[in-house]
Amino acid sequence: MYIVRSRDGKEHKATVQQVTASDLKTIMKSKRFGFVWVNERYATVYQLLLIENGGTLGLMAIKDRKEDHAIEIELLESAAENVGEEKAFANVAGCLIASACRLAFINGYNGFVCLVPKTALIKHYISIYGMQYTGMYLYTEGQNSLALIRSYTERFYPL
Amino acid sequence: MMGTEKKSKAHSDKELAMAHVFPIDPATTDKAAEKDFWGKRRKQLAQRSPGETIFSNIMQLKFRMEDYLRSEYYDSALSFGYFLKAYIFALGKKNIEFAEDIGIQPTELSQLIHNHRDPKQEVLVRLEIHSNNNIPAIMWYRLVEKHKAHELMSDVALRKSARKHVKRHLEFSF
Repeated sequence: MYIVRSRDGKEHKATVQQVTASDLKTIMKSKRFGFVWVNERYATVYQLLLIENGGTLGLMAIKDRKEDHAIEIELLESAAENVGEEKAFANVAGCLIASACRLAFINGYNGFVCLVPKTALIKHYISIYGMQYTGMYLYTEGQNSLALIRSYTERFYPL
Repeated sequence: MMGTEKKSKAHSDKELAMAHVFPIDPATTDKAAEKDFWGKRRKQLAQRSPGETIFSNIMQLKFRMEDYLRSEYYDSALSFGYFLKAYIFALGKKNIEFAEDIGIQPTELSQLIHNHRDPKQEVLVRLEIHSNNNIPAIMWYRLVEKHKAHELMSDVALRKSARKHVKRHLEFSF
C-alpha cells in the first residue's frame, strides 16, 4: 500500500498490521491519538504503519461478527497530524476501511463492513466511501467494497 | 490530545468523516434498530443468489492467494493444485464440468489438482480467462514458482550431487 504525503504528493510505503495491547500502550504515549484505545471493548486493533520509520498513521478497532458474516468498525482514528486541511498524509482512514473490506472478503463475508456513524457525518461517509445507510448502520459490501480496496490498496499487493 | 468534543470543534464534518469512526456508547444505542439491522442481514445471507455466493467465494480465494504469495511463508499444502481445487469448489462445479469449461481432459485436470504435473502457460492463461481476469495468470504462475523456489532452496541431495561436477568455484562468500 502506498500512502500519499499531502505536502508534495509523494507516495510512501505503508502497511496494515494488528496491534498488541502493549504496542497500543506505547503508541498512546506519543499523544497523537485522542480516543480511548486501551479498552477491553476493543479486542482487535489494527494500525496503518509507515514502513520507512515504523510510525503509526492511524488506528482501527474491529469486531468480527462471525454469526452475521460482518466486520464492524468500532473505532477509527487518524493520528492528529493526519486530520484536517493541514494533514500530513491523505487517505489514512480510507486505507484502514479498505483493509477491513479486504478482511471481510477473506473471512467469506462478501466484503460486508459496517459502522455506527455520528449523525452529522453520515452524508460524508456515503459520498466518500459509497456506503449505504439503513437507519442505524452504514455499510458497504460486494462491488463497493471491492472498489474501495482497488482505490485505497490496489498497489498493496503487487504481483 | 483531542477527544471527541474537541475534534468536533476543531474540524469540519467532512474532515472528521475522512479521518474517524467515532466511539459509540453502547448504553445510548437504539437496541430495536440494531436488532432490526442484524435480523435483515441474516435474512439477506439466507437469500443470497448463487451468483452472489460465487462472487464472494472467488474474491475470498483471490485475496487468500494474494496473502500467501505476498508472504515469505511456504506451506507445501498451499500448492497450485490446492488453489485450483479451491477455485473449482468456489464455483460449485464438478471437476468434469470445469475441465470442459477450460477445454482440457478430466485426467489432465486431476493431475494438475494433485500436483502430478506442472501447468502449461496455456492452462494458466485459460484459468485467467475463465475467472474473467479476476485471478490473473501471473498469480497461478507465482504459486508454481513459489513451490519450485522452495524445492530449489531446500534440496540438499541436489547440492551434494552437483558439487561433484563443479571443478572450480569462487573462494569468497558473503
